[in-house]
Amino acid sequence: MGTYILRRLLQTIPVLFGVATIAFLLSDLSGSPVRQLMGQHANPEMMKRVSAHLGFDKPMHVRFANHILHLLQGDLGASISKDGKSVTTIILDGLAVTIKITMGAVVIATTLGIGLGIFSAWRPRSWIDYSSSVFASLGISFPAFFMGMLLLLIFSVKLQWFPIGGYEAGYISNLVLPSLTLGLLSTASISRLTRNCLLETLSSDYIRSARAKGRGEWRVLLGHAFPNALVPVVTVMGSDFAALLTGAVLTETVFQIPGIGSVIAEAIFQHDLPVVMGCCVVFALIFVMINIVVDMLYAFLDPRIRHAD
Amino acid sequence: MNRLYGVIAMDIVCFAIFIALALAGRNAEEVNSESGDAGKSGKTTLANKGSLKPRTGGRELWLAVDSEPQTLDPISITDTISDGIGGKIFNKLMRLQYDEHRVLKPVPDLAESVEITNENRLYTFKLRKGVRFHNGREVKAADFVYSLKRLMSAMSKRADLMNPFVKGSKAYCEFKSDEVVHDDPNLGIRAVDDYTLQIELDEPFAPFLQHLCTVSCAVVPRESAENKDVPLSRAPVGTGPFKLAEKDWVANQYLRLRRFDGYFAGKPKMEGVRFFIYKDKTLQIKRFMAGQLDACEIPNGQVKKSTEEAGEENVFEWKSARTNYIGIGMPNGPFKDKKDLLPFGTNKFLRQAMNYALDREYLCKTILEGRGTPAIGVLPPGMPACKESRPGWKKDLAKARELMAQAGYPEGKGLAPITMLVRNDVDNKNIGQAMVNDFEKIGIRISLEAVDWNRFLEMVDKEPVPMFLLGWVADYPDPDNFLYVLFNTKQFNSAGNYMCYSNPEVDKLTEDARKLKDMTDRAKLYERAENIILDEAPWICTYHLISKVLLRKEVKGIRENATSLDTGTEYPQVEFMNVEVE
Repeated sequence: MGTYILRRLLQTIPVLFGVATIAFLLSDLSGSPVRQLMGQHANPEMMKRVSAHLGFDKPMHVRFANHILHLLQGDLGASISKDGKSVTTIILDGLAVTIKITMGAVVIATTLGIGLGIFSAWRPRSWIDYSSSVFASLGISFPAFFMGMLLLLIFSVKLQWFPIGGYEAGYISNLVLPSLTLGLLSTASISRLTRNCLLETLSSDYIRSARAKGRGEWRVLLGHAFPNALVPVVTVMGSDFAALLTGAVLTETVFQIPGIGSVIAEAIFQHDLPVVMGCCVVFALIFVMINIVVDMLYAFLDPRIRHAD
Repeated sequence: MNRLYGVIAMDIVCFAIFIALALAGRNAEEVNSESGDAGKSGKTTLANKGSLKPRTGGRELWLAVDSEPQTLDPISITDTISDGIGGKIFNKLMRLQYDEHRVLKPVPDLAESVEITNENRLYTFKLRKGVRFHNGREVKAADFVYSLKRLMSAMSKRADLMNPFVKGSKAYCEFKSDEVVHDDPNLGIRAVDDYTLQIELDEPFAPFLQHLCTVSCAVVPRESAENKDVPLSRAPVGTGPFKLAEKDWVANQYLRLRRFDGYFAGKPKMEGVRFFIYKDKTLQIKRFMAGQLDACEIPNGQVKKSTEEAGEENVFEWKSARTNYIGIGMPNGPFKDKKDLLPFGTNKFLRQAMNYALDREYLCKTILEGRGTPAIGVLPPGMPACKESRPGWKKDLAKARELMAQAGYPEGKGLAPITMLVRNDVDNKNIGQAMVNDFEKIGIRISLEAVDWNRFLEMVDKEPVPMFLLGWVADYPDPDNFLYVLFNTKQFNSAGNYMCYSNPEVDKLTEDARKLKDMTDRAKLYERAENIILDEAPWICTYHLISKVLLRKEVKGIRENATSLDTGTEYPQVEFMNVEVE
């Protein structure tokens, strides 16, 4: 197992290098951020000096080498639009907020998603199944910004149960609707997947044996079938978690939450290339790490799966 | 079954983490703070039904800004939000104040007096005694020498305030050194004694004192500026009426400035100022109505509605020193061979026809909802040397058509369609479209090309574009900031003259006016320059901005002292020293 983890960790290096390279090249193509930084009317001489100070006067390959060299030392660089504030701090500030929403979303998505899935599998083609299916298609087809606005309209504007947006540390009420928006989106896919996997497992021989031995329906469903149906669900949950963490841009915009999504959106508008590149690398790292954790979970969930050392 | 419990356990853990994290940022001091609590808003917004609720800010002034300040290190400040916040933390040698004729003039701030000698080239400042930095140390002339040298260092973004006017500044700026500041006996900035500072210029430059009013020329303590662990950009140390501790800047949420009791001009009346960062303007208005903000901007299209909801007494409007315009690219200087691309730049009558086709009244009343007055010229009203009796332009389609015929394009026949560059946002596109509709009536067909700000700047920097929609707000209240900076041949492209307008007489007038000391003499030259510019019409002046904000009537001291310079936070620039909340 140890060797396996080590091998997986080593594999992340080329992935991160690839992401860093692509992020650098794309950012570089989008032009220099210095012009915007200097305001509407900028003395050309001043622009040259500021460019030089920020290192934009150097040829591309030199800047790329510098960028990678710093990355290897774990240094994501300094923000341009925030006057040298460390990119790591900016990203951590954003992630701290996004993680809160994501945790809430995971709770909603797993409880609701798995619960609905189990009920659907319990009575396939019943009204429960159909309504959960309708719910799933709605959830999958609703874009986050639309779902967010809908929830805002109902719960904040009409019912006035929650604040209308914005964020202050220390208050849950600000986080409920964003979490719900994000959570409902993955609830849909998780519930469908749970149902299908459960139904497939329910048709296997050992379930027939369990039923033949007179086990109760719920016992069979939850005790025998569910654990084996869980492996694909966990895979999806893992990638969903990563997607939730990194894909909250729209939700955060709708609810005015200063998370990582807002950070990257703002950086793109301000041409703050170090922050954009830093976010790309961190996002890639999150995805890779969560994938490794999910692979580890397989072994725990299904003893038949053993990672070859 | 165990694995089901596993999933349930995971959920419980996630939920616990969610709750713990959600509550983690809660700061005991915040909750108990007498001056109110930002976080309450989570609940109080529930009660928001549109009518104005009592304010909750206590003896702190609560303002909204659209984004975080980029930096609070004076030498890096180029954006207006940083400028607005930095202005409360720092002091300069000079500051702006209205004189008896309501003209903004530089008056001594940390200087006690200023004497200008040697044919307007030598400035001698006597400094106030007993002025202290927020860290307690007294400000001496050496601190100004250090701060102004630092302003010319490689890390500065505003060296243009000193270079090339100050003697030896060019050589100083070109000196390659790893040190932030270095010794240079030829530089014209020196401390004569602890309380006397001299600045020598190469040539007379009338707006120099106005330059010194800019926040970038603020005095900072060397010990803080050179502390790499706590950079000035995040934890500014100045001499101003309010100070900012590092912990009071909560990323993406708010900045809380607290009163500096040792302020040289006495104790500020308020306990502090809090800038809440809300990107969404609708959210700002909701918070204002719920009593959680003392002031916020009114977004376009909501003027009538928010005035009704908040009541007239809670709305404040003032004239900004801003002129909006359509710039027209001209084939001058290095762009002589671009004549074919710039048909409007080569034909004065076409440009004049545009002036008469535009319905400025309608634009200001309907599209801008009263947030503008029809432009009368390049200089906005309130600016020294602005001739407020100028008639401006009335919509006159007959005259416009006549000018079109004179231009050689009767009814627009033979005139190819042209594109106008606009910033890619709803407001600019709406305003642009309204103008385009007016021009179509006389046969000028214009299509809008909306691009983001960076691209916009790149395009106009490179070469003159046929037409662009833009506005200019005064950096400092001096006609030089409009007529020289935006129209002199030396200022082509990025330096300000995006049109590449060039007229030797305007060049001479604006250059001569810089060298004179007395505004009455200068105003005569500026009037002549402006007359030429208005006749040649490289700008189709559209409107002068009237800023409108929601401002609680309980806030005293802003309405009375508002200057025409807005701070980009869309609040008028005022000395916060005397602002008070009831």
